[in-house]
Amino acid sequence: MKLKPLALIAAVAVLTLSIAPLGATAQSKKRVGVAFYSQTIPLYVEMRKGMEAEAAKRGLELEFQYSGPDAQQQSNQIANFVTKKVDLILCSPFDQNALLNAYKATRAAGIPIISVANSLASAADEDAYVGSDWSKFGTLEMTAVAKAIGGKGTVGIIEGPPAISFIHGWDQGVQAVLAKYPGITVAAKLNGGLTIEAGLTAASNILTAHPDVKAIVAATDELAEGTAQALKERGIAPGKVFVAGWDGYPQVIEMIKNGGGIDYTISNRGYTWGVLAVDTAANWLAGKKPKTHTVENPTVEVTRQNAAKLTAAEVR
Amino acid sequence: MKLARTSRTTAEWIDIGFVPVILLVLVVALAVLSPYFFSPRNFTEILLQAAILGIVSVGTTFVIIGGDLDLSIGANVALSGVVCGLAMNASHNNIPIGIAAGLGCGVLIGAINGLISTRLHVPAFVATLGMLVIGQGIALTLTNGASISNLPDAFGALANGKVLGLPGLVWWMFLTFIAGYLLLHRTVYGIRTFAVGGNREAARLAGIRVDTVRVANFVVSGLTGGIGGVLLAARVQAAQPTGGEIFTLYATAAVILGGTSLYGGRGSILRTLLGVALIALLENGLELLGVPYSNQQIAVGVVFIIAASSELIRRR
Repeated sequence: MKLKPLALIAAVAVLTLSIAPLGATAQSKKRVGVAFYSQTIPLYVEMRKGMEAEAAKRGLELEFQYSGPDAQQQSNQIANFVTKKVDLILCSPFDQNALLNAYKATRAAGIPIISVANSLASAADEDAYVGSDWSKFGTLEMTAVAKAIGGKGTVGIIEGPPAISFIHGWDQGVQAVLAKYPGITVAAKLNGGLTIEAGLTAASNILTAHPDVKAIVAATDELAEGTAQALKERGIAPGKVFVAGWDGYPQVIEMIKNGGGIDYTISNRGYTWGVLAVDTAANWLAGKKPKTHTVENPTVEVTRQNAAKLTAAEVR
Repeated sequence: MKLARTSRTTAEWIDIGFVPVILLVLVVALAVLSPYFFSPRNFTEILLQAAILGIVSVGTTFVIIGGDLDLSIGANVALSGVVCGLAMNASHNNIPIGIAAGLGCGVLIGAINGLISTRLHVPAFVATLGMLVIGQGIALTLTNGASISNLPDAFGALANGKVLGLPGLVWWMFLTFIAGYLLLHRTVYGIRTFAVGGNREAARLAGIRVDTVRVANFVVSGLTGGIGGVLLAARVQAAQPTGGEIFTLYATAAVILGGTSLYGGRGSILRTLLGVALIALLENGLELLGVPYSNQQIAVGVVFIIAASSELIRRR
């Protein structure tokens, strides 16, 4: 009887320790903590690949932590990075307001913290931002749509949850362009989730209520994929309704090339973005701060006209 | 006449010593493996990161000892924080009104849980699960998915302001534990809770108002959920509609890990404190060792199952 609890305790200890990587790591490399909130969003998956490649080149050691959609968890992870005395933190803040205290504490501890892909509400609270003004993408996308339909007609808009900062920014860009085209009316503006299924449902509803829409403007590629499926289900030939998305997923670029029902997207170039983020971090640690607060990530518009000509390296 | 004191049986020693020994082993192992673990800064971080879980686990203890379950805590924390934030925004940043609204929301959820479980004879598992989903939906509806920001600095200071070197949030956790201890172990209500959890029918036959006690337990749990929600919003100075999701299971896990019986009638607030400490140490330690959050969750789950299965040893 006495052996069992001891065995259990030993088992717990062994299990716990076996999950942890043992052995000290080389202290000569600079360490960068990466605090992302999503492990599954394809953009972050691509970014990680680019980051790891560039970190290997620049001699940096990266440590990734993912918090999920929880600002407190992300704050805790940042605090733990500070406890571990990392040299710099790269963070994609889940919430532009709720992470403020975590950023302040990090900077107070003398550790630079650079935002990637999402920024805080106020630029003064972060050391730099590797990304873009999200409204730019809304502007680009809506402008392309407006031109494609000749500046007039009805359109449907499928955006995501308006609280997410990139959706919010995108929407502002879209609205700004709509203001310039009085001939375009918005038949419906729906916001559900960010999945293909959400896009399918929203597009179906738009097409049912407004069969005469000339374009559907989706905030992400997943929503655009759902839209393409909705059109297919109704037997509407590709190209009759202009479908625009944003992200630049490989399968969507294929669809644009092959007339699969999507006509436009913007590639975020996740891999390149990751390379840029680590590059900025490495420069910072070597004493070279970026000239502007915002380090813009290169993006590329993908249309039916140029899709076939773009190489893989140009869109990744 | 002095009663002879019988010595404790082996099973009783295991019952008492199991979790503290695991904690000791964990602390020693982590101190050896990570140079950052054993530092005042990290211990403060651990207390801070455990605080909200600690607070809500106090209420959960009442419910579990009373023979029920509360799975609505995650939504309670989120919704109470949201209501608190909305109330402050609507009242020109009146903090007392915000706090009252948040706590009131928590208590209301607890009361509804209690009434559904007792009046409608719905099993607590099902009733609170239903409230979890409803609460999450209400939180999202009220906020449209956005987090509520622009909360006053004085409100943030409730959690982050330091008193005697420790953040306010940690003191609130201590206070909640003390209050919970006194309520559960030093009042008639506490004794009745144990009775109801131990044998509901016997308690009823003994003249205890079982339904009243059960509703009171849910209200206590709801109250600590409300306190947790308000303080979580204070900690990050923003109220997130999705904040606190993890507490739904972790709070119950903390209570059971500490050694309180899942079937009710046996347990203590002190045991909950140990359970919270175990989870917090495990997560913090693994994170300092560079283990990704997803693997930390595996570790907590494994430890939880091992600890819960140790109940078999104790009951023999």
